[in-house]
Amino acid sequence: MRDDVRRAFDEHTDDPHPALRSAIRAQLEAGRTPRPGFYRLAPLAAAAAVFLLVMGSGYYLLSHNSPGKPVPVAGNPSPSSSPSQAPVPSPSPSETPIYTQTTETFTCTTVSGGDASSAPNVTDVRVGTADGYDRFVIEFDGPVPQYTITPQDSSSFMGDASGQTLQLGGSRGLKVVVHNSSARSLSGTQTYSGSNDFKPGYQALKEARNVGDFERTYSWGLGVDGSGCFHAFTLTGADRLVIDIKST
Amino acid sequence: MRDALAGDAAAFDVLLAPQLGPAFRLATVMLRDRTEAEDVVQEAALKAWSRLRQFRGDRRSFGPWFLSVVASECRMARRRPWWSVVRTPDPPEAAGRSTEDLAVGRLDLWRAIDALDADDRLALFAYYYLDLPLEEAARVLGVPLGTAKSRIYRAARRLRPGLALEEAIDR
Repeated sequence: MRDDVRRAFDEHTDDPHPALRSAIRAQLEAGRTPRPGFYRLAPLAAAAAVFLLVMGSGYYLLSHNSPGKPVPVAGNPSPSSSPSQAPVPSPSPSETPIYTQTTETFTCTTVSGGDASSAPNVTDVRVGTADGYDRFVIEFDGPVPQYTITPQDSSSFMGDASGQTLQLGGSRGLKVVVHNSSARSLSGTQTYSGSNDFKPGYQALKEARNVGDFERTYSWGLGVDGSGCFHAFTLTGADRLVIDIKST
Repeated sequence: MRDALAGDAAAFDVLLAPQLGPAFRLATVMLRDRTEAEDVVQEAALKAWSRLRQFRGDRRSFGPWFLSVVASECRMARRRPWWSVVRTPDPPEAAGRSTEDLAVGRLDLWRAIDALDADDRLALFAYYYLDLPLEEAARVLGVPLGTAKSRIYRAARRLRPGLALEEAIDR
């Protein structure tokens, strides 16, 4: 029994890539701390949300009993209306992108931004989904450098160094080019060793694939369905470029 | 060990290195995804580093302790809202086929293992593959000794119906 099971595990698992240890060592040396974990914060967030909802609703009812007073939006009363309001715990920077509702309008044209003087390394890339949009995030170890996001009518991308055509899922595409950045530091340390090809199959974001990391130009292709309109912005705390792709 | 406990990251890296292989295999067994397993092991390593002062033990018991952190991270990863969207669901447990059928042949043995839920796969992995003593396997599973014993036995019986307890828990 023991030998058979051991053999089965041995045949169907293998050792990690050597870069895993390097990646961990780099993060230890950089003093990175673990993510708090959204699920540990979730009960607090849920309790705070319920509290805010109750407070907001109460205020709403009071307002309706007092004509002439402004009616605040439920769940978001003005500070003066609820001085004892509990603070809402904010999710950790690495988890935030999935849960922060985007409020900006979407655009369907090329967008550029970022700090031209910054040349950070990529430390994380992730995808997520929320009501109304799917999200793609690139995280850096310094201010978000100069970037350009270009919509295109197909989900085919050309690999930056290879010139090879890469066909992604979805019917349209967004090309994300980040200048003066890489997933490998100038000293050669891999700073991001996670997935380079996400296939989440969300409503809008079908696939996200790294299409280039060449001469400090770091590029991703996003294969999308729907309008392909998006909203791009940057966040700090952990410096990151966030791209919300409209899904409904 | 002493240097790592004193906050020496390089010493912790040395302490951690031999555990990365087992940790990665464990995460692969629980998550069925190499990329996700790498992410989880990295996160577990940082978590272990940040919690090292809570660790009470010697160099030998560091391994099971770290693996318990990895297993916990795997469970958290599986609970994330988008896990069910991004990942393939667990296969049905031997649906339509008897466990005897599944246990025939090495491939079928693996299919039978793969059809178990993540914690049962972990139980078999810790006890049979990592060859951990029952006490240490229980630590990795994050359950009391008796629970670990019954979980290993239950999982083993799903591979080999009729298996006696003494055959499953062989030492």
